[in-house]
Amino acid sequence: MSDISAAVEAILFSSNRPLKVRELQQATDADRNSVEGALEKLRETLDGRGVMLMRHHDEVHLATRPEFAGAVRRALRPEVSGRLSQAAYETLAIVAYQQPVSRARVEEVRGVNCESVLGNLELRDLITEVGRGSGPGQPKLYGTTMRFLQVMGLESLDHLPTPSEGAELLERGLTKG
Amino acid sequence: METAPSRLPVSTPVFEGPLELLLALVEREEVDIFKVSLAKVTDAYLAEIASREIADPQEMAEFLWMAARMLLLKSIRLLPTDAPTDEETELLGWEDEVRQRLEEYRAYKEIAGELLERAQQETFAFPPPARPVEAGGQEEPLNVDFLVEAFNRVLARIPPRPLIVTGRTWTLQEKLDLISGRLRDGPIELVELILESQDRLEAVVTFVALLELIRRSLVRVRQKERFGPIHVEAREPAA
Repeated sequence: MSDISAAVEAILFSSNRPLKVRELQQATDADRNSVEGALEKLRETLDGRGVMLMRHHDEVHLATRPEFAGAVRRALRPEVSGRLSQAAYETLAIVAYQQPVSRARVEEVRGVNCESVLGNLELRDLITEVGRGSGPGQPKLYGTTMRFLQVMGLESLDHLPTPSEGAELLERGLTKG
Repeated sequence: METAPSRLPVSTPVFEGPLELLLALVEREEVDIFKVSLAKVTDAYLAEIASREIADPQEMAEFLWMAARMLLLKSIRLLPTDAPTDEETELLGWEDEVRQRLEEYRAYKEIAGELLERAQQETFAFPPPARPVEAGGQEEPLNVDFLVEAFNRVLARIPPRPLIVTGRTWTLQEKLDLISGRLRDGPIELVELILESQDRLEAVVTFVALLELIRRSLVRVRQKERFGPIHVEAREPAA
């Protein structure tokens, strides 16, 4: 493992929040390509280990592998997070696959008002405002958070489950410009 | 001929909007959404909305608008004319559009199901704990004033429920039992606990139950840092 890769591992191990690639560049005094290379190396090194490298857009973090969630829970008894409603999961799914997405678009898909369920997900830090739309009123655009990956035990958004049906439909949502 | 609309075996207690109801009816008819005729499920749709109390006028209007379009569609199908009028053509186009929306909605429902399954399989990926590493429960027991303050902040985020559901009412004892039971699995985050409430009344009952548990010295409430998450945990019974 290169020095940068080891340094990145040390930084991520001791950080209680996700770090941006840029922050890692500054900390290791390396350029973007070197840090990206170091991250890829770290990801490979951690293959088959108890912790994994998580990536959410431009942020990275370490987390325990979801397979061992039960063991970690038994050992440390961390707080039990609240259960989400069916409506919340539907909304979360739409945001995850279509991000950045406006409330109007989410409501179009679900056919009901989604204001309170979006607010609830935002308060739980599962989604967040990622920008403003160009349409009238510049609507808030929502995207997922690193916490979403943690709760779902996903390494990155690329690891979202693929639906058996309507795959191309969602594909369209994912390959946004 | 239509089959007699048997009552829908409902897995969710209430349908959120016309689309969800329609999807459930259509799926019962046919696997391929693009082949099913909306007219075919009109009767079942009408029966369902007639049997439901929908207090919110906006919500009711949406259900009725869909019902009106479906009835019109059905009448066209039953009395076919040689050349479709403009209105009929428009309506057939609408049917296709609705089918597309149903297909899309179904795809997301499926994903939602998978996410739910993942979450239930205990797949949490735990990030490193907050640093500096705490030295074993040194944080101060939380002042009840902070608790009330935090509760008010969360309460403001729970809107009055737009769609009136069967209106489950909670007794204090039920909440006490529920919270005590959950605490046996480990600490609970206060905000998460309150946000599980379906409406404000339930949130208040939850909070009162929590205060009662504190009064009985059955739980301890802690906050590691100002404005940080507030955790509720069971207290070992005094020997």
